[in-house]
Amino acid sequence: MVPERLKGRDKSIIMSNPSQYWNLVKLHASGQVRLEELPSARAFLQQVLTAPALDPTDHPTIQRLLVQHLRDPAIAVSDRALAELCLRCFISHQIEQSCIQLEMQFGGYYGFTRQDLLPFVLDDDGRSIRRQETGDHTAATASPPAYIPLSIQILQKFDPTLASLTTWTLRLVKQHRELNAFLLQQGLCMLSDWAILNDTQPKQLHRILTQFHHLSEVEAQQASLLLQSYHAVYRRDRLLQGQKGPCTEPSASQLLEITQMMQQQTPQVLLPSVLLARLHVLADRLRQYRIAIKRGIPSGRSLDDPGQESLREQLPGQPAEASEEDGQVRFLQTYRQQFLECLEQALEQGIGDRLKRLKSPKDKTFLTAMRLFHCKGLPMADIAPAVGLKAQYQVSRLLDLKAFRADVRRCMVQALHSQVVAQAQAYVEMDQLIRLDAQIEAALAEQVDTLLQEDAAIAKTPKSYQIASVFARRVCQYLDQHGDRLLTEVNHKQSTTNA
Amino acid sequence: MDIVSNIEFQSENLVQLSSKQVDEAMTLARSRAHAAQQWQTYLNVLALYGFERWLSQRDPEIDLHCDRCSVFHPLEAELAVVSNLEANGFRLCLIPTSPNEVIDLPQVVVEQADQVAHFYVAITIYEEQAQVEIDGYLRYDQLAAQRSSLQLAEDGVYAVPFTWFDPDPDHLLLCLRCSDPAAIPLPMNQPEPLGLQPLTQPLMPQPLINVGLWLHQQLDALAAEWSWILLPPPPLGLEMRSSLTLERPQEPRMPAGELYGLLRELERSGLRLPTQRASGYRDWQLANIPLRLFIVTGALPDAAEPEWMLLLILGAQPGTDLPTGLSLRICSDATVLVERSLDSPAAGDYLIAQVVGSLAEQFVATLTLPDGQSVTFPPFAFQPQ
Repeated sequence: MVPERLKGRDKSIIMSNPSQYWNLVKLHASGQVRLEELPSARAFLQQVLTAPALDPTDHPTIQRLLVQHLRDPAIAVSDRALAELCLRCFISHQIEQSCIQLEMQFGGYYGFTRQDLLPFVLDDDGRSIRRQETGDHTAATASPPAYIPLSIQILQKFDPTLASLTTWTLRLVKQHRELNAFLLQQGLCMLSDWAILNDTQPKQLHRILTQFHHLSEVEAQQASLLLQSYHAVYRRDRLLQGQKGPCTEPSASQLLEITQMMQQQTPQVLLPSVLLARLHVLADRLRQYRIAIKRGIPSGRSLDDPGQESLREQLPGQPAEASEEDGQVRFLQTYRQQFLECLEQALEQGIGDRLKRLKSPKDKTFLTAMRLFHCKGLPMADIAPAVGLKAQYQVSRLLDLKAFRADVRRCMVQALHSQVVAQAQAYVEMDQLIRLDAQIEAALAEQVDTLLQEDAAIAKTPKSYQIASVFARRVCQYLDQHGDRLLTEVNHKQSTTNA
Repeated sequence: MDIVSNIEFQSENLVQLSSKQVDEAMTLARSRAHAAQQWQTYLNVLALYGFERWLSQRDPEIDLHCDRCSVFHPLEAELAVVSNLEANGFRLCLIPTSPNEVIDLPQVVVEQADQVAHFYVAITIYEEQAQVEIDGYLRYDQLAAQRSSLQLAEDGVYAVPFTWFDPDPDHLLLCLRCSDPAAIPLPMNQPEPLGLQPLTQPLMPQPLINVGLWLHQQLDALAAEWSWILLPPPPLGLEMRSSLTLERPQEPRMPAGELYGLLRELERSGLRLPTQRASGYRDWQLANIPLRLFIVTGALPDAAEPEWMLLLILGAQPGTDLPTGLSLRICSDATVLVERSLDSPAAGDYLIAQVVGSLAEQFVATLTLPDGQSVTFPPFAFQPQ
């Protein structure tokens, strides 16, 4: 999923360049990101790099050395702080990368930039933090707890024997509560490891590990025991405590209970930190599976551009092109009049239902956006600013065109089937319904309306209108004829709910 | 993995649940006695609320009825699905799931007449986001047509490929709105209590239930109509391994586990069972007494003349006991071959009756309640080919 450009450029630079240990990526009040060189960190790192036989591109080793320095009580406090500063610089690069990747992949469609994301996670200004560890208890209790930037939280729980700092940083960034909430609000769903584990049945896990990841039976059984023990504790507590929303990391006592549960079945004793790491690994495997089978862009996107009528290609079980066309022509010729009447009724119902359901002022926005899309042929990205929305996906969600078209067709199918299907039949066969639905969709998606023998009025309409589908033109006509009435109804609805 | 690969795409068939609905689902789940089943209940209720909301948004004119719905009438074990939901007269079964290539369907909702559905709807639950996604649906007739290619797992679940499902839920709306339940015939539901027959009537009603087909994991029409459910053959070497700790713990009151446990005990106590055998069971109520009848059958090829065996084990459904005075009788040609009755109340008792006969012979089983009410099953015959 990493765009090629990123793979080639930014990542390789990061991997080979030790300057990321002394350049801090810092977010300024202006919202701009700047690199700030920290000479003390640079001097310190160069001193560390003089260690014999140390490869300056061997990041795991450099990071392990720095963490050793940071945590060694025999080393001077100032040196420990410098080791930490180097690691904080490194983390700041990783955090920035995550935000850039999100922006490049999704920002355009979902309407955000890295500047929206960075404030949540890039919060380290490089200043020294008041330590609250051994020997400093009095200071810690006397003053309010200091704000701890994410980079330091990441380091506090980091264990170089269990994961690389890059992986670890990603893990904490992706489970960042506010970042997640923001992304979800933009329409992007990022599941936590805990939610994925909660979501998976042991049986399913076995299937995924043996068939998708090709693990051995023994490995799969161990994983299954781990998952079952985790379920027994974590799911129970989530329900008992009524926890909603993002799942939190299992607490120390939960981890302990899980290990105890596992000990009843296996002689192996796991440290809580190792247990946690195993759970993460398991969740990663499940996530890979989920992504592999759910890959693809949201299908609604194909409809966002009024020039595209790609829905037709997606219809299941289409017969060969020619016979389909024939069938369609016959179908439309026979039922032309009914077809148009049904469409008009169906639009009335489909639009009416939506206006009823949408709360003010969304109902008016809906009408305006429908008109801009179907009459002016504007792409959703251009409609967004015109109706006071931020991003394309918000327009997509508001119009929800795939559902709208399906609902309109359903009304038409209901009205038409009694005329199309043999009267003698006691009930309509479902496959027939689905075929009829596909025929209607095909007719509505037609760009040239010769089948419906429309009048010459088309010639007077703007160009974009001309290339629009039958459906778009009919929606537009409907809105032209009934727009004022609909608006009055919407206003009436608002005044009655206000009263 | 980078951060981008952590994003999960959701389709437009996504429904947001309210915080209140999540609270209600949690409360209902916590009311379940077994901790292990609470999470399943929680997912079931989320699936139901999500589906309800989706339906009301997409087609407010479709009537949804949940009064008989399984989440509000839990059985002894929480099903991993929501069954007995009704929309415009169609029966629906909701399956809460996660992105997966196979959808697990419990055997009861596939085979038991009062639990089957016209449509099985797969629903992904995003518990953390309080969202559900309608993934697709499978029609009963399409499921039934392909069922023989499915293997029933030991835990009584069919793993149905998701490719069998129509991934466009708009088609489901179309069927609910414009078609009729008669378009998908379901196995017939027997009126309760089962067709009672006074004993004075001739004991040979036709047609018969051919249990010989069970050896090929097949049910004939009458057995299906009477809602007999086949049990998978016991895992290989189950009996031999029974004393070893290696054995997978069977859920004690799941039908398969219950039967295999019983057969082990019976074999230990000297009962002769054919090595090649088939079994099935049926849960139903007779005069409001919940009963479970197991049938084990098989050929006895070693005998001089080929013979077959029918073993009936009548027990109470989990959580209940058989009433004193209940009797089970097996006849052949109006001759009573064996009769067992429960004389003293004892918890966890079974009535067990075994008969052996020539391949041409048929057996008729009758249950009689203490008050004289009785039920007679269509004759059992054994014609494996």
